[in-house]
Amino acid sequence: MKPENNPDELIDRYLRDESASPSPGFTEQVISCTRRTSTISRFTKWILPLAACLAFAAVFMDLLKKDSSQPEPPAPVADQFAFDDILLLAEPLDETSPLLDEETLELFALLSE
Amino acid sequence: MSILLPDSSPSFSFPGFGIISSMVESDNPSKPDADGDESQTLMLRIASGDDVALTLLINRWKNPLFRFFDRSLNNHADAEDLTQKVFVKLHAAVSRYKPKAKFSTYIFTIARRLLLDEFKRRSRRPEDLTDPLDIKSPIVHGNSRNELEGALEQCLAGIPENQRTALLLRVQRELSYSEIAEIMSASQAAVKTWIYRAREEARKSLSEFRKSNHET
Repeated sequence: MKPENNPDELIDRYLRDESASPSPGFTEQVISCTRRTSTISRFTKWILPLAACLAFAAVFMDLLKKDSSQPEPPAPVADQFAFDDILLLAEPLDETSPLLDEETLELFALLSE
Repeated sequence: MSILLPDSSPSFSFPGFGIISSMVESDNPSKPDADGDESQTLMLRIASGDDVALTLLINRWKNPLFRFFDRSLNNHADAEDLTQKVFVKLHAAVSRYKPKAKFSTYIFTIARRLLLDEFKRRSRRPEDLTDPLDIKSPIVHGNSRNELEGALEQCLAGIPENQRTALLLRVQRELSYSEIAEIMSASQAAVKTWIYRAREEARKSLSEFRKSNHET
């Protein structure tokens, strides 16, 4: 059987695709691409740890600042709220004279004498 | 043909592609692996920063890889893109490369992984977004050679990926069944079946084409 009539021969010739090749300049294109990729990977190799270090340093500095500064006033407790409320209630009475009973008035009179 | 391994461990690893065990015996050593041996040396030279070695490696493997992708994808632009990606991956892994197995097995394992990724990407991408410039020039009618190629092209596009890849590796690279099995992470029996079925399909397409051509 002639090669051109042998089906397997024809199939193999088609599969081998021997005339096909990448476009001219392919090698240069790949080399520049690999260089670019390796530069990026080199960059990312140290930029990520550096970023992590900077973030850690920022958090650490913040913590140090907090430690060295004035202690924060203690959080108001429930009793203090009640005392503030009493003061607020007392404020409107500043201008008015207190209502005193008779015994107290007598005591004030004795003292003044 | 026995492949001399540098140490007792019969495997090599490639980052992101798992462990690839090496072949100790080749069942069909139709092609000497001088290319592969030299490529291993080139890889070691690239690792030491030799740019000339990189150029030599690309020039040595660009055509086999391009032809493999071209027949798998039937698209020149995508074939070129994937060929480039293989070299980028190789270059990225060069410092970790250990020459423990045949270089062709190593490089075509990477190629096949990238091919599978491309098929996944294509399955996610709608057909109508394909750049018209990416599509190959249509088959010229009236030319029986081109029509024959068209029939085989359709046949190849219609068969499952594993059958097509196995047949391409067998015919294009003349790899042994065990090497193809390594690349495709399959048994030799499965590879033989895939190749047989793919060839049967191709024969069928060819005979149908001849019949229809004879009738017209």
